[in-house]
Amino acid sequence: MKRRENFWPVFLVVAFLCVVILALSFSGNLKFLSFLEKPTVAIQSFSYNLFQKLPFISESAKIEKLEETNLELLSRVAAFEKLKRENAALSDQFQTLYPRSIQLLKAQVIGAPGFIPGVSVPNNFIINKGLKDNLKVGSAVVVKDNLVGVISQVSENIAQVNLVNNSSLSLAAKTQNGAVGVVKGGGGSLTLDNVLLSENITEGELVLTRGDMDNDGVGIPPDLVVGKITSMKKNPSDLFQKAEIRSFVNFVNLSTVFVYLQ
Amino acid sequence: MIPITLLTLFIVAISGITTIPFSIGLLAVSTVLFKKSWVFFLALGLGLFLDLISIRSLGYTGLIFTIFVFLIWLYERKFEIQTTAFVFISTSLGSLAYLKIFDYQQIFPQALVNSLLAILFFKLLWLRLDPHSETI
Repeated sequence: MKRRENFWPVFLVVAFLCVVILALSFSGNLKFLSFLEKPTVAIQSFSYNLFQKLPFISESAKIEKLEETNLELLSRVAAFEKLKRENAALSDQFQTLYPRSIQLLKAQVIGAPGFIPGVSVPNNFIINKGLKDNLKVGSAVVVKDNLVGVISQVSENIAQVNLVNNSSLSLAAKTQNGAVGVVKGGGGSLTLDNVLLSENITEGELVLTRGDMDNDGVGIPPDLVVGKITSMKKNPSDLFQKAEIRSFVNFVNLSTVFVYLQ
Repeated sequence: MIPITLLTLFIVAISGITTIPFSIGLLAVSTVLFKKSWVFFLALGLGLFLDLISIRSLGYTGLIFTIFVFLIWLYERKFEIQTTAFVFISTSLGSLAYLKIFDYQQIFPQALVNSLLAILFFKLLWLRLDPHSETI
């Protein structure tokens, strides 16, 4: 249709430009370009909010209210279980372990890359808080007492959150009855794995975080709700038993989350 | 140029919602139809935008897009590329490579959707630019 131009000089210039930008980016000398994140965040936030308002995405108000009530009740159950354990620990003169001086930072979800509507559920979010808000890689992200995910990457103005159903995320967890295992994500589902065969886990039991904080107080605090056991797989010839978990958080409709800050 | 500009703006708008690499389709169609060197700059711009919203190292996606456009140009030297089959295959392979490099899930359905949309856009633009042609 149109005559082809000599592309070699342009290709070499653009490729060289990319390599230079990449090298500067790797060496951390492109922080002055963080101002570019603001317009991109605005575009991303606008499109994500618009997307959330689509009729086939947003659920009816009644279902949303029920889900909210459900979350609240489960949070109360988790709090009750925590109080029980604390009481038991105090009785035994043990110190209870809990993160110190925890602050929650409200953040808006502005993007969900990896999300194909109707085909898959999101497995990571982009939130509108970053290094300037003291976010750190590894910080837990929650909604009420429910674990949403963990911060995996941070830039000046935005951060990426790996959701609990992300295959790259695994965390130590325990059931209400104290069985310990590892929660792993993958393909939008959650599995509680590495639970000893001698442990007793039942359907409907809550799965809570076991706690994984570092010396700086960054990480996942204990006793956050990961989800509920929906089915178990116990084979006497296996070393461990595993269970499927369903998170109480509706990742598709999530627009606000909270980040644990130390 | 107006359809390409509008499509670029649309792709920029939806990039935060889905990982379907519409940019690959846009670059393939633009390269095949226009055969102009500004496509390399479009590749760089789209790449930088995707790097910013996905919190990747800046320049990474731009480099991949630039190489993708370069490969299409190389192919064009010896073969006819203004065909539906070429757009489909190049977009599919480009999408699969992109999704694999960035470790996204469900790469095949995403690549398929992207390729079909690229064909649709290619045909619409072809009719607009050269409605009497029968080479498609």
